[in-house]
Amino acid sequence: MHSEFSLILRQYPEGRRENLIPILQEIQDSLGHIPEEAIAAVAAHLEMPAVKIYSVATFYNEFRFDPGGRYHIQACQGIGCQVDGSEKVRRELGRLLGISPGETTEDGLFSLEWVPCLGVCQEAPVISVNGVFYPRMTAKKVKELTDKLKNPKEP
Amino acid sequence: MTSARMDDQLRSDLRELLLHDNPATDPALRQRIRTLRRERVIKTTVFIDTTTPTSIYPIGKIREAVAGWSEASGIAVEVIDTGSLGLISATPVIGIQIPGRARVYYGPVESADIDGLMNAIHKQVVPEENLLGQLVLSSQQSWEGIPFLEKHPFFVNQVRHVMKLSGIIDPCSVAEFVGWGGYRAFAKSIHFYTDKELLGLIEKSGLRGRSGSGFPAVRKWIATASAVGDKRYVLCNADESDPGGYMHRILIESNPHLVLEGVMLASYIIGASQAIIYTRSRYRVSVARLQCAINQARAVGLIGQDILGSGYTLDIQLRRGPGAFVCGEETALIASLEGKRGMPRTKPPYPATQGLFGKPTLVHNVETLAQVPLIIENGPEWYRSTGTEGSSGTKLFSLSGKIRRLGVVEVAFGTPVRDIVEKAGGGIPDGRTIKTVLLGGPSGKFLPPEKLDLPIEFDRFRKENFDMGSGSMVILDDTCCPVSLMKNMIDFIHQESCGKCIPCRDGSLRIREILEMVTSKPAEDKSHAALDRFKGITRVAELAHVMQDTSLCGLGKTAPNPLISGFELFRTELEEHVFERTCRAAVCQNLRTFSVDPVACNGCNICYLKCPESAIIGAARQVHYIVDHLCTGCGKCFEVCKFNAILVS
Repeated sequence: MHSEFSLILRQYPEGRRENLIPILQEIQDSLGHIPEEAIAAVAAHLEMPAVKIYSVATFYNEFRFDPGGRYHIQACQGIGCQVDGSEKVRRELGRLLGISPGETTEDGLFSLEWVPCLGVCQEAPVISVNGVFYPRMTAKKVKELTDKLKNPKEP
Repeated sequence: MTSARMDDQLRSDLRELLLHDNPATDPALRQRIRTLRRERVIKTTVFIDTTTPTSIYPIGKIREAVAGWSEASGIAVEVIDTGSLGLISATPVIGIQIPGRARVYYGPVESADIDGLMNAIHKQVVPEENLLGQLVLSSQQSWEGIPFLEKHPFFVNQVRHVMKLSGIIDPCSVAEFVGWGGYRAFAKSIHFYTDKELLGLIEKSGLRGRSGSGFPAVRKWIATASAVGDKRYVLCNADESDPGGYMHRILIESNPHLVLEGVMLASYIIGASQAIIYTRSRYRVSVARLQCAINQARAVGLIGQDILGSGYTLDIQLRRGPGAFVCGEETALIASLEGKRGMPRTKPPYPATQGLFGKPTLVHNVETLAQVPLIIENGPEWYRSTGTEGSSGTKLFSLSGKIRRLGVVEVAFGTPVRDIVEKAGGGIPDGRTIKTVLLGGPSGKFLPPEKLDLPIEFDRFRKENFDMGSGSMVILDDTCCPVSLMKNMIDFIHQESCGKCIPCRDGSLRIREILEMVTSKPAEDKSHAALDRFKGITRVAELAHVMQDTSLCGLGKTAPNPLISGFELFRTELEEHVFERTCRAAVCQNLRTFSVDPVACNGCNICYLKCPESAIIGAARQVHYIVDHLCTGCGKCFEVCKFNAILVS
């Protein structure tokens, strides 16, 4: 068993079901995603079948089961961003990277996610790459950004 | 002071303040309060807004500039992180206060402005550029000729009760909150009032739930308090996830202690021994500030066993919601807290009798609970003096979309929507005209421009068959396409539907498909596409009504709202999409056709090179041509053409 899981699980000595979500959140916080071994470990700890854990974990947007790309791109689909043209930005992201939200590119460089609101509506439309925000995006700026991330050495 | 550690001196000082009958009569305490409120500062103080909307700006650079100035000038400066004044479009906002003088607020500010501002203010000059106004706290000397913050057009029509301290205090300082009279209502209640008396105050205040339905709070409270159970819970629903609404987040990040006090009071009144605040895990700042507030309140002794010697015991926990829109529904929220999928269940039994772990549970959102300390502290008569007969107090709205001043506004009930949009919001930018206001996000309704004078009031809204929602207000101008917006909203609902009821799960998908057909590319029409489109559009309203009537929870019931109101309001525009296959706002990409103006085109070749679909043919110095069936309508050629030779229709 991974030492990280056992450390997290030890904080919840009573294997109660209501701790399931906090446990999964802590695993994701420390590893960035929830690997298969973790699900098994949590299932054993809470004495629940693994399929039940999956059933809960897949219900929520936050949990990821693969490590994701090196650059995790979140595009805002809030209404504020929408009226300022976020649909175009999202379509361009999908087109340039060739993936749908929730997927990772084959080279492991990019993963994509649509989020309800990033909370910076004054600079709409907004995307965030690994937590760094990019304001007032356009299709053109998306292209420039992804090109820059693909070839970081070039000016 | 962010951790639970707190020195004993401060703790006993705060307890003294909390338990004092009337601290204003004691001169020594009055001085102490002034210091706690930062009305009196001993060195120059800079207040920096660090809420989520500022995370896009280099706030660290502003901090460095302040520190750099302090070093160069030799003047000591204290930097305080604050919440937001609510005026999001002016971020980053900073406030500067020198000893003895009123605080002046600026926004938007860049790190390069800091030196100039600090130098000028220390020479007793207030620069006017980007000035928002001065905030004068009672004993301070005001700046002559400088406008007051509360007279700023964004603030002048607002009635700020729950937002009163937002952007002014340090959200992570329990001392400052107590200095402003915070937690006094709670301390007073647990010592001198019974739950019955307090319930009477709430009833007299006419407090109604702020989540849209406007259900009288006291009925829920009485039901929970009188339900049979060995343990009761209070849940604070801070899982604001409406795309377009951000008022709760701003309130939490600006004044978490107020929300906490509301939770404490509600817990005491209904006799709960445990309260849980459920907020979005993704809202890092909210989570951090709430956790910090809980730790501090525990350190002062406001959470825990035998609170302030009153014998009342309360524990408050913060739980992070892992992200599901439907968890805003109370039974889904409870399921999520129990470690299950966040799916709503049938009611009754209501959470008031069978809630979390089957125990009586009171569920309210952030805004409703934040009203409670104000009612107890100032009395129900004071509370009722704002607002209207049926809807007392104030309501928060978040403004976004095509509007000059974005932000969170707090207005008295009875204020017309027009005042919020035109006065606080400053109207529509770029000389455009208003098309509609979408109230309540993806489950809200479109308010037509001729109904903008409708006053914000629960009963008036119900009579007119409108829905206030939780308070998100998106303003659309004539460059916005309602059909595309409806499509995106139903898409959001489809993603967020929990999947329990077929009408919501499949209905949202069918509606999306129909709207997809309406906005599909004419060149790609196959066999019966036109017929399917007509059929779909004639039946979509029926489908929407079925969803409304047969879904279990609020999400499914209200999901078709934008559609139903949008179809009424934008019938002509919808028909144009269906019959003429055009989008007058030129938003629906598939319905835009691009062509080359043969006179203006000089054959520079740039569109040919930039077209991602190779839909443009032509050679250098020859007129180009766009192949219709290859064109995806992305508009790249239009953007790159320097000679205005690309025509859009």
